[in-house]
Parts: sequence; structure tokens; C-alpha cells
Amino acid sequence: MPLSRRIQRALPNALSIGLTGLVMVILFGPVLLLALFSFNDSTVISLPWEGFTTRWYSEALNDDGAMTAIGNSVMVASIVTVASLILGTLASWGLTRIPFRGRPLVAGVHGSVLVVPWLIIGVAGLIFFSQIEMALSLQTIILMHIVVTFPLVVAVVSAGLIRFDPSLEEAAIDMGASQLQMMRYIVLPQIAPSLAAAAIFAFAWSFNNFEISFFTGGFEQTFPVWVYGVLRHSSNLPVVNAASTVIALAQVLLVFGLWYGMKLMTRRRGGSDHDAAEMITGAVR
Amino acid sequence: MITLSNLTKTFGDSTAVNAIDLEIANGEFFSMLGPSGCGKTTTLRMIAGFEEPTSGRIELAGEDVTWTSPKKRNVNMVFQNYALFPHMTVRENVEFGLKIKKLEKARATERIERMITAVRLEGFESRHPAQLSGGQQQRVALARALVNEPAALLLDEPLGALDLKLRKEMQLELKSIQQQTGTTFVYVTHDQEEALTMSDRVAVMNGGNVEQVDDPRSLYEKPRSEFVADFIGTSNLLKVEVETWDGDIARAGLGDGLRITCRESGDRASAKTITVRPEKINVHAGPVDPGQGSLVRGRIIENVYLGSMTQLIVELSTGERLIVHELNDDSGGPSEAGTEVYLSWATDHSFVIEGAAKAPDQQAALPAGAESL
Repeated sequence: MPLSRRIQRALPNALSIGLTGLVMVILFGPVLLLALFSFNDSTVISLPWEGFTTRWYSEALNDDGAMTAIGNSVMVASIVTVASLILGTLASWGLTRIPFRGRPLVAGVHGSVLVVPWLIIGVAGLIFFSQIEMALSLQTIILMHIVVTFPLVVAVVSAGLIRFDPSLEEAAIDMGASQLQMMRYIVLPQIAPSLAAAAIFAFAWSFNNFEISFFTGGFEQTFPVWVYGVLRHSSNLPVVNAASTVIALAQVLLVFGLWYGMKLMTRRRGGSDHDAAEMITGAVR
Repeated sequence: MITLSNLTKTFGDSTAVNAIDLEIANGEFFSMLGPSGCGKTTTLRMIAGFEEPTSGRIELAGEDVTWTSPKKRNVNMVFQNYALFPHMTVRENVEFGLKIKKLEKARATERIERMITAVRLEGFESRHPAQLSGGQQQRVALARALVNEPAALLLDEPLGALDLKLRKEMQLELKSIQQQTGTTFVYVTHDQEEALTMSDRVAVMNGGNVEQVDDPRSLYEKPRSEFVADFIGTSNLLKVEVETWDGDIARAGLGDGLRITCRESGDRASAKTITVRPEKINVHAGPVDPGQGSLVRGRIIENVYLGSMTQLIVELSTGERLIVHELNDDSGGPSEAGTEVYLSWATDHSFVIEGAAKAPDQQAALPAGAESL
């Protein structure tokens, strides 16, 4: 084969590898860099490398502020996830299965919340709570987080329900199942992947949220608000760095674990990896 | 027994099912046949309980179930896309109805195993639906419904998704399962061949109305309306004015001195069309004595070789065209295009029927015997 032809063949491949590499570096480079410097024995994040240490990690572990904030965030995100999952699934059922007047409008209202900036929702929440004279606390944070995660769950679970063949529901009823039995044995197992995806996103959104927590929170801080607070002193940087690395790693492991579980589940049902990917991307769509 | 009386279903302004009456006997293989949108599926879904009738009455075994919930009706449905539960194995699918009914374990197991054997799925019990072929999925759907021992099984175009060869196999299998179990089958299809091969009786539906309910042979041999004649098989339809009635025999001419005689079928007042099947027509080189039958004259304008037979298109003196099927057994008459020929057929093979509005265009369809090539 002539050289020009060989280059012609290899070029697209090389280009796509190059482009993918670039995207990966832009996406994960900064995070990896932070993780790397959390092991650097220096209070400034820059070269030269002063030596390997796990000092920042033990400091973070002994930092009451960090531990309390992480605890708060885990609690807030857990409550938000469960609440928005229940409310969102009920709403999705109504929006996809029960015909009523104005259904498109109601569905549209749910979706529109997703495009309102969190900052504005946070400020709106602050004004709202001060108007009704409700003291700001973790509870107000939870309420406002549900405002944004609920429509997210509705979007994800509705997508799952729309893809779900309604004749399966009829078949179950035809076999004598009650509405509840049909839900329990047919619908829930079928939309489990959508529910799992919705739960992951709701948890992550709540856990990582800064704007809403910042405006509607009281004295008790969530992790992102704590980070913002302590970062005003640059000497705290390495501790924040270490704590963030642990949190990021935990989240990544959680998502990967769930993804792997779903893959196993579809495999067992005779589906392919493609089906699993389809379920998750379908859920996100 | 299933009895539908004056059953009507409207969706907004359109009438899907128009005051139909049907009686389906126990153990019968009953088909509802018609083009899409004729109301057959809506009727089936009303029997199952998934659609509420606008008016009318549905009785199952003498009991009024018009407003009974589907889960309380002793009928089961086989869905067009099978609607198998994808997260359950074959066995779990078949087991589902009995589990819901909390049937005693030993009896349930016995019934499930008997059913799985009947549909020849032994060894597939622990597979999931996605791991089965279309025909196997179809059989799981059948077993899942029949294991409940319903008074009637409702099938909504169950073979629609299968390829031709598999469909033919499944037709025979469905029929044999029906005979084994003695269950009443109510079968919805748009495929006339499917309906004719399997059914004891067929209801031909069109535009929400039942055109004719009959056994397959009578439907084919004695269609009572233009729609039925046209929809089932290939049919020649000739517009005529009946000149005289002799008992139930109508006589008419085409203005060329020859004559047509046919049996009455349906309403005499609106009788304006006669029908005769292509294979019932004999071709002669010269005039013959047709006895009591019909004799017309025409010219062959087209000749198509179809293997076991030859299809001739004969143009009559009136300009109307007849399709004639001649078996290729060396006994036939002339068949070259351009030949002047005489056509004869027996009185019993043609019927004068209602000249209703023109039926949907079926003329372009392949002749009934074309697959025998």
C-alpha cells in the first residue's frame, strides 16, 4: 500500500484518539491534579513537589467542621433522595398513565424547573422562608433541594415509564392482578433501572449543591458550604483538598457500583450490555 | 358462551364498533376478520374488559359482564406483541396468573408443567423472554394465558410478528392446542387465509359492522355482500340488472343475447351485483349449452402463467373484465390472448348480492392460488 494511502487510513483513527484524549484531560485533569496535590507536603498547591504525605487526610479526618458538614450533607441528600423518589414516581405515573385536562401544561411546568438556575431558586427560597418567617436550617435546605430534584426524578422516571410497554400492565390485570400487585410485580421491577438512575442523580445533585444550600441554610453547614467557608484561609486548602478527593472517589465508586449492578441484572435477563447502557442513557434522556 | 348484543363503541365522533350482535359457542374457534380499523380489535378488547362499551351488553356464560373489571372475567388474552414479562423466566411468566390466584402449590405445579409440555417448551423454563425466538415467545404467551383455564382465550393478531413459514406452523399448532384443550378461541386477524384455515366460524367485519358470520366454506362459496366477496379470496363482481326472478334464482343478461343465472344471497331489493369465483368459470372455444347455468362471451386480453394454473383476464362485451383460473391439467380450453371465448358457470356458483359502496381496493391483490407456484 502506498504511504499516502496508509496515512489516509490512519489519520481518522489518530485524530479520534487525540480528540478523546484532549476531552479526557479537560474533564478530569483538574480533579486529578487536586487529588495529586492532596498528597503534597506543602500548604500551597504548586510545584515543586515537597514530598509525599497523608497528613492532610488525617487532619481532615480530625476536623470537626469537615466531619459535621459531610454528615449533614449525607443526611440531607439521603432524605432528599427518598422524598423526591417517592413524590417523583407518583407524579410520573400520573403524567404518563392518567389522562387529565391540562396534562401537557403540568408536565411542562415540571420540566421548566430544571432550567431555572440554582442561584435563583436559592434566592427565591430565602425570600420565601423569610416571608413565612421560617427559621433557616437543614430542613429548609432539604425542602429547597426537593424543589430541584423532584422534577429531575419526574423526568427520568417518566422516560422509563414511557418506554415501558403498557400492554404488560394489561397482561398483568388480565391474569387477575390488582393495581397494587401489578405495580409490585410488573411495573417496579421494570422501571428499577430508571429509579436507580434517578436516585443517583438526586443524591448527587443534593450532595453537591452549593447555591441553594448557601442561601437557604442556617448555622448547620453542608459540605459544599463548609468548603466555601474555610477556603477563605488558604492554609485550609490542603485539608479541603483531601476531603474533596475522598468525597469524589466515594461518589465515583457509588455510581460505578450501581452501573455494574444494572449490567449484571440485564445480563441475567438475557439482555446485552447495550440494553443496560440504553436503560441508563434512556433514563437520562 | 359469549354473547354480544347491540354492542357499540365510539371514540369521540368516530364509531369503532356499530351495534354488533354476535354469539360465540363453547369450544368454538371463532375469528373476527377485517381490514385495519374495522373494529375487530376494539370488540376483542371489550370482551376482555380493557375497553368499556358506549352501549350494549356483553355476556359470558350467561352472566352480564359488561361492567366487570378485566381481572374478574374468566377470559384471558394473548397480546399482539405477546406482552411477556421481560424480568421473569418462562416458568415465572406461566406461573404468574396462578400465583396471583394463590392456587395451591402442588396443583399449580402440575398445571404449569402440563401447559409447558403442551406448548413444547420443556427445557426452556429458566430462560428469559429475550433469549427466545419469536415462535417460542408466542408459545409462552399462549401457555401463560391457557394455564388459567379461561372460559375463552382472546387472541389479538398473535401471529402478526412472525415470518410466513413460522406463521403457517403456528396456525396448525394453535388449532391443535385449541382442539386439545377444548377452550373457546376468539381470534382477531386481518389475514383471510389465517381465518379460513383455523376457524370454525368467521365474522367478517367492515367499518364497525359485522358483514357476515359463517363457516369458512360458506364465506368463500356464498358471500352475502360485495365486501365479503371481495375481501375473501379473489372474486369477480359484475354489475347487473336482474330481469326476472324464478324462485330464488335471478336471471339477467349482458345485452349480447347470452344470460346469467344466479342464486339469491341476502337482500333481493338491493341486489345489483353478481359474484363468481375465478376457478368456477369454464372456458370454451365456441358456444355451449350451459344447462341452467350462465353463459357469456368475451375476449382473452391477458394470460398469466401461475404454475399450477393459468390466470386469464377476459373482457366481456360490456367492457367489464372477469378473472378466470384454469388448472394447467391439459383439459382446459383456449388460453391465448386475443382469442374470442365463451365462459360458462353453474347457477350455484354465482350469487346476486347487495351492490353496496365499493369495497376497499383488493383487486390488485394476488390471486388466491398464487402462492402455489
